[in-house]
Amino acid sequence: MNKEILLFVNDREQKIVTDPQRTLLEVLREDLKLTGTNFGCNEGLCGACTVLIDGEPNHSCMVRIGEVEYKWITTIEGLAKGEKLHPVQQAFLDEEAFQCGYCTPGMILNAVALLQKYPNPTDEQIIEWMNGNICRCNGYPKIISAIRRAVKLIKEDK
Amino acid sequence: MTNKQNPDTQQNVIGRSVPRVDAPHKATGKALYTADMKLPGMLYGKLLRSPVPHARILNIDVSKASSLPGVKDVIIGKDTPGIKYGNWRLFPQTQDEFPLAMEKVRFIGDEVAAVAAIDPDIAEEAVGLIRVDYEELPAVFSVDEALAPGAPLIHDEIEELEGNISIDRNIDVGDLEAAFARADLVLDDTFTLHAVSHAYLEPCAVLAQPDTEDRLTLWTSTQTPYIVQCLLASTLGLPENHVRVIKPHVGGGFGGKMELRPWDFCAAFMARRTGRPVKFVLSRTEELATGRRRHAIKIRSKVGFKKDGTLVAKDFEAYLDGGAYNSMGPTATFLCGNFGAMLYRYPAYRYRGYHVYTNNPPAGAMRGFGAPQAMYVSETQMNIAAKELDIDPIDLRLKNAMVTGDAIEGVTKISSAGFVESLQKVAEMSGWKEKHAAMPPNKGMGIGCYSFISGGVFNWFNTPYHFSACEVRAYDDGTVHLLTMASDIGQGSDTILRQILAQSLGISVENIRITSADTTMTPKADLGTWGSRVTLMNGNAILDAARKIKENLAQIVSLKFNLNVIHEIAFADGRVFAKLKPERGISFAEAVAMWVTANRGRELTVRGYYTPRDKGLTTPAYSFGAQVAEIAVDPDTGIVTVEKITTAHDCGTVINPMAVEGQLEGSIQMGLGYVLSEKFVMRDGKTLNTTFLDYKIPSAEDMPQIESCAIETYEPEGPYGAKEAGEGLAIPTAPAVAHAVFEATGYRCKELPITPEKILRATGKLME
Amino acid sequence: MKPFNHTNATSIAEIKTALADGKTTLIAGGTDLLGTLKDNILRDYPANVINIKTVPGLDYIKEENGMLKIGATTRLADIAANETIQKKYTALAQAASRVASPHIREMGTIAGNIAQLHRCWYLRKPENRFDCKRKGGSTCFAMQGDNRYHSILGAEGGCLAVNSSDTAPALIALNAKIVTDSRTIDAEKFFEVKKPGNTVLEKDEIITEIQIPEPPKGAKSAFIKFAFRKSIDFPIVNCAVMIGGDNPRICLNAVAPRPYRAVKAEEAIKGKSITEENAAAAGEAAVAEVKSFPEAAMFKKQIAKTLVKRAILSLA
Repeated sequence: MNKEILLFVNDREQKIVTDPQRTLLEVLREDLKLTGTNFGCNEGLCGACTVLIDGEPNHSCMVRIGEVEYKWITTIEGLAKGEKLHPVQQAFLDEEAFQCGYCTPGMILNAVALLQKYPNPTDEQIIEWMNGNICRCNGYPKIISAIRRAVKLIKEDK
Repeated sequence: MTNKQNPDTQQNVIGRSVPRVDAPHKATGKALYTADMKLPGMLYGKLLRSPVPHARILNIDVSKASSLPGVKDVIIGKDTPGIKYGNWRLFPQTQDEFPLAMEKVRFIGDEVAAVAAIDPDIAEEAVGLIRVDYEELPAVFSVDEALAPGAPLIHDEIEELEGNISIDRNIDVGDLEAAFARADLVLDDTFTLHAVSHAYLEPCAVLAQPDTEDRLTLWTSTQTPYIVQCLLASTLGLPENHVRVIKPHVGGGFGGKMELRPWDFCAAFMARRTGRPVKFVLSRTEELATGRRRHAIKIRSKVGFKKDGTLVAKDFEAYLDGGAYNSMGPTATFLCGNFGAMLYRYPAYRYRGYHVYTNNPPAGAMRGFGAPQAMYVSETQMNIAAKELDIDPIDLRLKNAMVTGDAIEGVTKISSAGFVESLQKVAEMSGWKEKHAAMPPNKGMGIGCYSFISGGVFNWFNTPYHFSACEVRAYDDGTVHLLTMASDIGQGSDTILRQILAQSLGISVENIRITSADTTMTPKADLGTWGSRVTLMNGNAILDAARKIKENLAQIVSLKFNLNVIHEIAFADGRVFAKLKPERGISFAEAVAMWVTANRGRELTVRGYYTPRDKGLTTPAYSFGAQVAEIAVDPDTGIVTVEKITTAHDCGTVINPMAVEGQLEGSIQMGLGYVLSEKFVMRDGKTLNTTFLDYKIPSAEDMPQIESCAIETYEPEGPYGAKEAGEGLAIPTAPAVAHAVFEATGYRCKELPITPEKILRATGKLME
Repeated sequence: MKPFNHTNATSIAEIKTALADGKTTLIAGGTDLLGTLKDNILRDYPANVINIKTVPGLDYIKEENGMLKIGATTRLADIAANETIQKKYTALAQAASRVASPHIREMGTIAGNIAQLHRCWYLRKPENRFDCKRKGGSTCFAMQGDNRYHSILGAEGGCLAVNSSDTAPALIALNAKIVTDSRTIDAEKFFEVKKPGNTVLEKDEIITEIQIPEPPKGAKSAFIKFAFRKSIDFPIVNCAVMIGGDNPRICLNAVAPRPYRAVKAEEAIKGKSITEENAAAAGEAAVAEVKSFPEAAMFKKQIAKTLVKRAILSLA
């Protein structure tokens, strides 16, 4: 049942020979050793495993590897450019938008996707967009303020 | 924020939002959690759980599972040494759990067998091939059923037990009957508090590696490496020192990860049998269906007041639904009684607490164990009384509030209390006086208060070692290494402990390396992260170590500058110097280098310890606080929207403001879930809502506007005056919201959670 | 998850052939199906899963010949964001924007949303722990157990589970048609309770398009949903209305095994002006037939009539 699947993960080409029904989450974690993408519920209900597929946020536990052939995947490991953190990562650090950190990679990637779509989001847009990601420690306010800060950091970057 | 305790230094590490030491790794995905780890030859474990709530095991046939290709080990209870364990080692009869069921299963999800295979799918398939014959026994699913005459005995093997009450606790203060006779108003209410899930985002996971010489290393998602080490060693029949427990990054715990759990044992046991590493990762369904939970408690509370609002007496009776095993239930029983008597001065108080076995999944410790339930009751009754007596609810509280120096006779003493100040401040911040009585229709404003312990005194684990310990190594390059068993599970203790050490040695936090929560590398012991104990207890151990380092370095500097004995030696800004003649001093690095030379090459390494002594039975220090909730109710659908939460709280000296804020905001989220949306739906011991779809945790949209203020008191027993800020804050949201709902609708909730249906029923919207 | 074969289809014909074996299941966004497979709740576990999302030309939104056409694999997020739909077929845009969470709307398709399996915690309990009537067992556990979120309009085939689609009532209110590879079906007649299906579709029949006629002149539509959480939640009740043409259309969902067209409510508001009083009367009429479980039904009944009233009033 194995198949050769070509995809691009964090700007790098990856050829994987595997069963196409395996989830993207499993392949990222087990085969590519990208363990920053976390397993939380395996049912698309917590957002801990969020990655970007062609720039769009997806629960990687709900995506089969066979579906993402030739696609561009971005995980938390691929967000920083060398030493320089992505502005959303920096903003999460500045606002201390996490405690246990388990939801953080998913939160950050979802926020990156939000700011690509809406560079100047309203508070309502931020909250609506982030609703699919659960945080149990920090209770969201710091995450929301981190996203507001990221908007500024991205502008300063340009 | 000023640093009150160390005036001889310009640098204030205390009171600064020092960035978390683990932050960069968490933001870049480099932080390793247990499930992220992989070792060569590693096997994957899965558990077989009981599908029935109460049964005798007649036979287990593992032959098909064992012969499945790829399966390397299958174990059942009979293969294990059959040694019971439990956190309350002080009372061995409370240790009621086997790693795998021996004769009986007692709840749906009770662990029966375990498989280790070369991949998780094979392990799962093998679990499905194990055949178990059960003889089903009658089962009970509530405290009332469990205590009814003729109820089945859930732990008939424990000889000391007569019924299903596993442990009880009494408190008697003052003459209750005489006190009630003086009361003008007596409230007598029964409350039903429900079970909820910790719902930490990281499901439990463990990885065990067999070592040479019969030893083993365990990486596990735990709040208490020391407890896991001790109990794992005893269940395996090994010396403690043969077991090394390491806590990697932990994705939240909230009390749910503070015990030895069957997967810890099975991973270790099968690793030793197969000679290969074994890993278990629980599924979310397993977590929600069978995981520990907050105790459901039935509380009857009778409380008496004078006309002017003065409290005269309280009679508090609690029945905790413990589920099938004790877990941390005895502590919850203990604390529920303690917290029934907190916040206000009760001249007479009686508590009767009973921990009851049922065939539900076991309850355990969860953020505030016993206190959220006890204080939901106390606070709601204060609000009922305020209404009955026509006194403002905040005024009623101010009249009875505990202050520094108060005590519960024979139980505990309050060494610092900023409760009155918290009440005054929250009233001012929320505009209580003007707004409370004048809310528009369908809107309400309510208040709830709390107090919580900063670590427990009662040594239920029966540790022979200090409650907290650390080692500090100072090097000649000016850096310091802090080694401690204290466990950062996300709350930020690695950061806070570095701050305390940096402040006391007068060096910068960047110069402190920390190794924490590895039982082999760090001194014995630390009881772990629970009961909001780490800042106070480990902080004090660090101060003890720092004092020893400073004594040594002070000698060196005195000698070098020939300082008169009356000089005080200061440690600040990376220097060691005479306080009144700062030019007479050298850098911290130089001082260490000289000390090493003077000591002929010895390393400057010291150990610090802390054990609370002569601090009553409960805790060395209490936090306090008051919270106001403003809510709106949709009168046609019953939906409650929490619009604003205002908090004033006393956690002593704030060591890291950002971390305290994070705790507060997270507590509000958890408190909102407790009061409004979270509930286990049970049917005959089976948990029906086992996904995050049906078990409803508040999401970003559910969060209110939040305002807060820290009332700084100085706690004499706390490091730099600090107390807890971890659990207490999770308490007041439920009573505050419930009070606001009453103000908006007239519905007084005595059975949590508050649902739209209950509101509509109470407001007459569901009449035919 | 138990193993199955996964194929990316390139044409409808290929899917048809595959489905003919009776052991193959169609998958699109996967947000519903993968959950059922992972939890192993079905008695008949498929041997093969065939992906329709890879079939070209099924992802579109266009207006043609006086009607709106939406390809079967169009994502809910695109429907929610489409300006034409927001303006003219408002109820559908609103319904699509209230499905689950932003992520799931990015993955989930319109066809998948209307064809999703019923919601019931007995039916969906992992590992088939409740072998209920819908799965071929002998008992409906909701009949004697916790049934707060079940049908208030009686059982079908002995099953009390409800259809929880958000877009289905919007499509029915908008008088939509479901086009398959072999026929065109009124949205209202599309739903049927089977084991384990939810629709009238044959085993090898495939939804290809949704068609919605342009609403009559002056007609407006709206959708509202009541759930305990604002996101990641299925409705306790939802409701779509279209008013302003000759015949108002009102449809509720999550109250019965099939979307429930509230004909009595439509009659009550027909030809009347939108006032508080008239809307309330329509709300009352909408729940006139509520029967099962008086105790549990009361709450949903109150919500249903409130939603009907509010949806109508929102169009004033």
